[in-house]
Amino acid sequence: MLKYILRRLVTAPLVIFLLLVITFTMVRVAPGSPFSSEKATPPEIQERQRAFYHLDKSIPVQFIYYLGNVVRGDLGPSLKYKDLTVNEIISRHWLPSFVLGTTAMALALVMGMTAGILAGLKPNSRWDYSSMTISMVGITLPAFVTGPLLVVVFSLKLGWFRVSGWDANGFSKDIVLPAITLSLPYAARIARLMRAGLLEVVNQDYIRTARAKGLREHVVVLRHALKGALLPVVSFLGPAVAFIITGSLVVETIFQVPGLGRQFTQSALNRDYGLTQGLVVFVGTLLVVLNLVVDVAYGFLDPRIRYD
Amino acid sequence: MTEAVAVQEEKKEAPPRSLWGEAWSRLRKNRFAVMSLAWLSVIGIAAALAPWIVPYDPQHQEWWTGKRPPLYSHATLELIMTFSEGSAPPAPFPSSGTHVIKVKKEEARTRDLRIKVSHDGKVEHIELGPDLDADDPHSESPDVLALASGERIVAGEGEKRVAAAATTVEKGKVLPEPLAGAATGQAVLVAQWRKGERTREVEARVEQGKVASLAVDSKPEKRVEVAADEVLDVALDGSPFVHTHLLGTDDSGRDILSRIIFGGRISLMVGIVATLVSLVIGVAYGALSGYAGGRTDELMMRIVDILYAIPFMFFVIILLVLFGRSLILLFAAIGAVEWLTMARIVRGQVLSLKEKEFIEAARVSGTSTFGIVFGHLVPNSLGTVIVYTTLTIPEVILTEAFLSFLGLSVQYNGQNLESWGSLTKSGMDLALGGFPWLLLWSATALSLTLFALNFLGDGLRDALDPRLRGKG
Repeated sequence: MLKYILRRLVTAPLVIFLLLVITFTMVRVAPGSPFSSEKATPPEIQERQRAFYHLDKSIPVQFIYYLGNVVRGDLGPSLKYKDLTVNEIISRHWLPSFVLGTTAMALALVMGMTAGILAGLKPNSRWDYSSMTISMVGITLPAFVTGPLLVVVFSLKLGWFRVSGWDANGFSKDIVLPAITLSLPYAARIARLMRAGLLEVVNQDYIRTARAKGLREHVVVLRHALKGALLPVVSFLGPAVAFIITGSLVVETIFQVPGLGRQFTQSALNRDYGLTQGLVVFVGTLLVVLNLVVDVAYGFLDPRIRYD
Repeated sequence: MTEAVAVQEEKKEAPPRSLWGEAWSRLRKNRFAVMSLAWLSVIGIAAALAPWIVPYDPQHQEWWTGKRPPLYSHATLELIMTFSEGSAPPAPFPSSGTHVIKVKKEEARTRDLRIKVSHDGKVEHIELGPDLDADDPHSESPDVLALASGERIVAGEGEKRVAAAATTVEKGKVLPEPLAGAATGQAVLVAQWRKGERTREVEARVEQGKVASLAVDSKPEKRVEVAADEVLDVALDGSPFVHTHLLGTDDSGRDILSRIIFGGRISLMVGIVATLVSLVIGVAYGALSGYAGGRTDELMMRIVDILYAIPFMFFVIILLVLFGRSLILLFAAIGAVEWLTMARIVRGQVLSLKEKEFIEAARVSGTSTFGIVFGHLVPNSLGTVIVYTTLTIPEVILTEAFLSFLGLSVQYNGQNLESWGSLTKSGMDLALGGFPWLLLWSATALSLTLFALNFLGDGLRDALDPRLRGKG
């Protein structure tokens, strides 16, 4: 167990380092320079600019400078918004993404677990078939299909919500449609995992023992079966965080949520690769850390697991 | 998809009780898998033969017949039609009956619109330049300004038309979509904001091949000229000269069915080719790793673990942004992301297969390592590889659609190659303007195909390995 955690602790920085190497190389190899503008700058000024950003040094030295900056938490400047740094942009836009992501995750857990338990308790019943068919739909339909369809039905036809937009003050009913759109695929996956987990567990001896003790059915289910069946769901949470972050690229674009996902898409389309690079490093590091946390937690939750 | 079909044929030719024959007969009993196979065949053939079977050129624009619902029919019109009393009606019109043509008549009043955007991205000030056609030209600075649909604006780079829906620019609010993306802290000049549009109605009564009477907005006329690109609607009396758009038309009058078929071509092609790329890398890597075993295997799989943890989607996006949105790059990028799982699966297969007697026999008989890996081990894990390939294709299609949806669709010769993803994106914009058809059709085509591939993959897994039936 300890060995596993140690190994994960060693791999995680390695992954982040690789992430930095790839982003750095990509941006350096890319055609065009951030200083190329329509007006010709005098060579002396170009020289000064290059010196200021250490671009006159060799590539490995540049990388070390870059690494130093990242380690100190400085993700560099944005090339399009000249007076903003990536750090400032992140501090301005992380909140909507965070609120949306956590709401969607909570929603996915509630919907997915409910459907999964209903299906898993009565396998091959009508409940099972209908919830599994719906979850197949949820897995297959991408957010950019469900999102616009929800907008057409609930905003345009029924007029319950705004088509897009986000209340800057935080929670408002603007969050409903984006959160549902974002949560559907995860709810679907969680439902399947929950069902599979329950089916696996119900035939095991300790459940039979619990029944034989004469415990009431809901106690057997809630206290005993559920605990064992939850493990696959927990292990899904790590990758799910990653999915939620990528998923929000689309959802934030559809619903014009001023979060990091939208910033990322915009920066990519604007070719603002200072910002793109900074956001990739930020989000990538976040992902690696969260995955690590989930994996380690999983190791503690299930003593049977041996990672060798 | 092609692999699936190929496998199927292979299975047909095999003797009935072989592994493949048995798998095929099991697959045939799976109703969902058969339906999926049927749908995939239809869409595959349609995509392959697209240039020959589409009813219309998917690029052909006739904006005066834009945004029509399914089964919409309209007449073929000449570029400029002349109706004059006493002579025969122009080409598409039949020689008797009453024809009513609604014509768009523009009153182009161009005004400058200047919007100041503050640093927080909100509209700070709206200024509407003088209306030179008005009696009393003066500037205005309203708090709210409505932009009607169809108005042309010039903002930032190039001309954009205001979204199909009417939008409003409002002080203190974020700029609406067609203008959004303008830099904050700057004034945006929206030149040529066109105002005003009205229609007129040309009514021509034709008797015995001659125009008997002619009226514009109920006022009699001797002669009327109508430009085809200004025609909004035509009511024809029993005309045989009609185009029918089975699934309707999009905002510029392009045939949706044709666009969906051509879009499927791109989506499926990307799906298949990028999957093949991932297949080649994944199978080779996994097989070598599994066969080598020991330290090498450990190291190779550790590398896969590390690569797994990297959010590659972001890199694909950066790659496309920095190096251009070429097809080859997209294939390579997606292929390079998707091979990891394939490598793991093949390695697992090879690990269990390499202990079998027939491998030992091959080794004893002096077959080279290369020969054993690619001549014996890989062919024997083909079943698993096929199942996983079928499941990878929808993932790749989804990835491409995702990128197109974000605006990173693949370009070829400077033109965007439309896939189901980019069609869904334009469909969404249209749906917000109250025209849901493009969104519905492209979403349906995309989802049905993804469903079918997933069901077929599950079906193949059950068919090839009955022990796994019902699991996973």
